[in-house]
Amino acid sequence: MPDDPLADALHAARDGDRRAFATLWRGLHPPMLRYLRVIAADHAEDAASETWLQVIRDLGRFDGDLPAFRGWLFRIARNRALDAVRRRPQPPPAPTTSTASSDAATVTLENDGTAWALGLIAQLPIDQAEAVMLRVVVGLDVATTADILGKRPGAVRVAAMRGLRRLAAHPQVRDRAHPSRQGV
Amino acid sequence: MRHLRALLTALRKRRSTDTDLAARDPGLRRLLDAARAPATAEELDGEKRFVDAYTAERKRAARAARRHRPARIRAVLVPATAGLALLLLTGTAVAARTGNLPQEAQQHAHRLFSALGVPAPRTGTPSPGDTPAPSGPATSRPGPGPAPDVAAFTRCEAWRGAAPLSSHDKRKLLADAGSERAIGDYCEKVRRSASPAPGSAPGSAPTPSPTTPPTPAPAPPPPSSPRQPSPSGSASVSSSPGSSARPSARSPARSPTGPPARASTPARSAAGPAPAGARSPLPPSSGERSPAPRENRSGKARTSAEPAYSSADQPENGRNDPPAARATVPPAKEPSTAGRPQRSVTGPPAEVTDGRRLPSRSARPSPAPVTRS
Repeated sequence: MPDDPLADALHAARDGDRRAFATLWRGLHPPMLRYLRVIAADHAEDAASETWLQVIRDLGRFDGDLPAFRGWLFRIARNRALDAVRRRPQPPPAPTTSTASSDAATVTLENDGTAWALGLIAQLPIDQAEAVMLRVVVGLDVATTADILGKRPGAVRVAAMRGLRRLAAHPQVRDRAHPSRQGV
Repeated sequence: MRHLRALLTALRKRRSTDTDLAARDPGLRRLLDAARAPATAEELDGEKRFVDAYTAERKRAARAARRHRPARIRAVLVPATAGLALLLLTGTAVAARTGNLPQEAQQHAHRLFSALGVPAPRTGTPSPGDTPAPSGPATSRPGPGPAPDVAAFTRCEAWRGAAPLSSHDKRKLLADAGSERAIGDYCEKVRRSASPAPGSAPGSAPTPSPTTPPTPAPAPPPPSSPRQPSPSGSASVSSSPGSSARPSARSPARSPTGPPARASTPARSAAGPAPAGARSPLPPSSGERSPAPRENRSGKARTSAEPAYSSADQPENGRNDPPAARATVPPAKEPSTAGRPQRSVTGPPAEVTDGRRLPSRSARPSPAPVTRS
């Protein structure tokens, strides 16, 4: 299981192991940053930094296993992102690059990349985007996701399902589903 | 049962359909794979920065933990010490308030916090400002002498007629004197022994007050009683024993009629109200505490220096006399020592200031200046 090394790293990092903390950071920072890019866009880096600083400060007092730590980490990240968005409102969203792009190679690169995926998820309504990111991309369970979002588990399930269906119906995703059409 | 199992299967299928939608849709699967892709170098850019921050934070936390250890000890010690001190202070305050401290500490506390009601220590000699303790015989005394003297003096006064003599007191008087005929001598002896020396200690003054046990407590004498000319009625009442208080309460009725026939010195007993108190044993003792005897002494001085008074001094002295002293009407039986102050109050001013009003007296000195001139 991929979480096992992270669970050991969490245990060692609580005891002050620098390398264990580095392992923990390498394993959890990318999904957290991607989640923050979906919900906070340009403020994602600042929110991620504040989140890790708070985790570093309070890690000695944390008492729980790895799923609980992931839930704690993403709850902090969500709160910091909301604070950052509240402090500095996001600029109006730019027009979708995928449709505006005329270069086929650029489109292909973007469609293959993580940024393309996150950009499509970010176009969802915020509750569906958050549910998709936390439930499907990060891999949190329903209860933890519901706890982070402050919703009931059923609402989280519904939001994730609707978000996935909407993504599946997206033209770019449908194009990716039929690669023969992509070159057309 | 079959329906229930089918329902569960349908629910599971529906749930799996919702969660595994990505697995069934290749486009969505590709999108989610892209979103779950391994971290890029750009995303892992700040690893060293956060690891350094983590290390610094751990060091700071370790230092703080070392610093907090004595703080934790302090957090326990300070409330415990404060509680102990509070308990100690409360106990001391209660002990001081109830007068249970050691004598010196109680005296100190009384000096500092008398306004808060801290009593003085229970010593043998009450200070002049203290009210006599009503405990009577229980109060400690500096010496055993004065108490029987005052009791005997009280009985002697009663025997002379200043107050009714109870049969108990009479028996006691007879027992003390030995016989009925010796009562006079005995009482004279008691009077002499009870009258204090001019420089006697003030401690003997308050002794009579607690030792007036056998006689029933009479009503306190009125403040305008001629025996106590001092304006402070409370001080004179507290300082004078019951024996002196009783005659003074009845003296207005008795003193004009004179003493009974068996009184050996009627003038003295009848002269109780006025300056004759200066000679009786008790008023001098109370005079140590009240300003009244000072006026008496000044009256005496006036009598002795009467011829030397100037015309300017006499009216002033007369005005300075207390009203009670001016109002005293010495009876004809008054001894010379008691009569002189009265004359000094009334006589000399008229004699000196207005010589023409009293020609019979001023006639004699008047020729002398004439002859001198």
